[in-house]
Amino acid sequence: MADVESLSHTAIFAPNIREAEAFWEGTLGAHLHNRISLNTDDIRRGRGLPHTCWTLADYLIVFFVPDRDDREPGVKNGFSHGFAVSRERFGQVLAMLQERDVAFTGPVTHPEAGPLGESIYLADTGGNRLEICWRRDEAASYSPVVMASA
Amino acid sequence: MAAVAGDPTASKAPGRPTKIDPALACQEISGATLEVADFAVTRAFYAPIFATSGGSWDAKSKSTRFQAGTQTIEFVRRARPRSYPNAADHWSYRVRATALPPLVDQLAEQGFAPEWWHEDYPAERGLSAYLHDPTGHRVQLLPSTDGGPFLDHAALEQHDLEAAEFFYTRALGGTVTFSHGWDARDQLGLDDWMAGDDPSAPFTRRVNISYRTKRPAPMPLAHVFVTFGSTRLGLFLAPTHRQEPAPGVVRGTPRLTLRARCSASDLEAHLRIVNVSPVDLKYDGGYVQFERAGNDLFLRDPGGHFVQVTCRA
Repeated sequence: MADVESLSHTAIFAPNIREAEAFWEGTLGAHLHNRISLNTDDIRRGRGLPHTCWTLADYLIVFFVPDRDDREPGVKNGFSHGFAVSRERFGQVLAMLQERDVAFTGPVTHPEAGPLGESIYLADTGGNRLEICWRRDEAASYSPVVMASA
Repeated sequence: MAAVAGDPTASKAPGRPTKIDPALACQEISGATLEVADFAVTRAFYAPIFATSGGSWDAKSKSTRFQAGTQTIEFVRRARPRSYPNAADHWSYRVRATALPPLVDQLAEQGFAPEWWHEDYPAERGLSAYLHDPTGHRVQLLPSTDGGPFLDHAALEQHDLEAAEFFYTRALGGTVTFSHGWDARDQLGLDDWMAGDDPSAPFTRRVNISYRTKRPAPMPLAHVFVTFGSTRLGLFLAPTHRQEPAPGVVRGTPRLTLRARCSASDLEAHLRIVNVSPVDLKYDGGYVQFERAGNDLFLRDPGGHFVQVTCRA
């Protein structure tokens, strides 16, 4: 067993980084953290194509232009990222997406016995699949992540 | 007036703008001031290039200038003129497409043989002639079929492309209208370029030595174009660091010249507070360095290039 401790970050293919940034910032509320390979020092160190790091809540996302041998967007990798909002906020998100003409499916109602309430599904500009949900257990406090001891 | 600089020890000042009032935005690239060693030699080189522009020359003891329409190229004499040969920096002049072949032949006979390259900006995907003037300033002769400004665009190398973009958009009101290197499609044709079969301008491509694989791979060299009216400024990521003028110096040459329709006082007030930092600083920084002299504002961009903005009287 790898005994991984937490999700660190996700690298997402973005066919066009500026379009991806506009979607994640304007539609989902992500915040720019930093951009890489847009300065001389980075490219002299061989850090490749421009890529940018964003945070969405406490979640770190890095947008990469697919390189020449991997031009298909991230869908083929099969990852789907789920983000939670409050139940109250969920309806506002739906309204916002409709106002912006952002395509999505749902809302889908999950079983009452489960942790999820409702979800909608959409794709970013690179075709990466996203889920936005509210959780029935949103009032429950989570156990903190316990880091491995030395 | 003293240059403005942020104080890294000061606390973050709230509410400083990161946008410009459109009324303060620069309207066009109105020319350049370039250092040269010899006026006669310089004029002999440029006279046939500018011949179809409908402008005129004006020679004085300390400068020689060519003006056509609202644009002026001024040449000032220096014992050791500064230029950036073989960098991305270039000055792109429109030449009537039908006049370009004989002009290039004439320049080649004078010892200025051009390279024929293309760039990625939509209007530059055909071949243009590139050559260095007698001082070493790179000149692009852009074949043109319309009557736009004779200085079509300028290009300046930047060691921090993000900072440069924010300087020219937030402080001076340009609009980013083209980016290269951010899109997967920008990698098309790189193998041809690597094989020597694609005449892309060398400052638009690079060979990346990956820090992981240690192997070379062709990549686009990121650049953006910032538009001012009917003119544009190319900002190209520098593949290497180049010597900059001394820190704090904001008035010098070579110099890009822009024109604004607002008053110098209004633009000065904006420059005093605008935040051009790409980073959400936790101290009161991200200021623009500038000096004012009458209706002119002298600035220095993040790449160390001098910029002059001429405001209305």
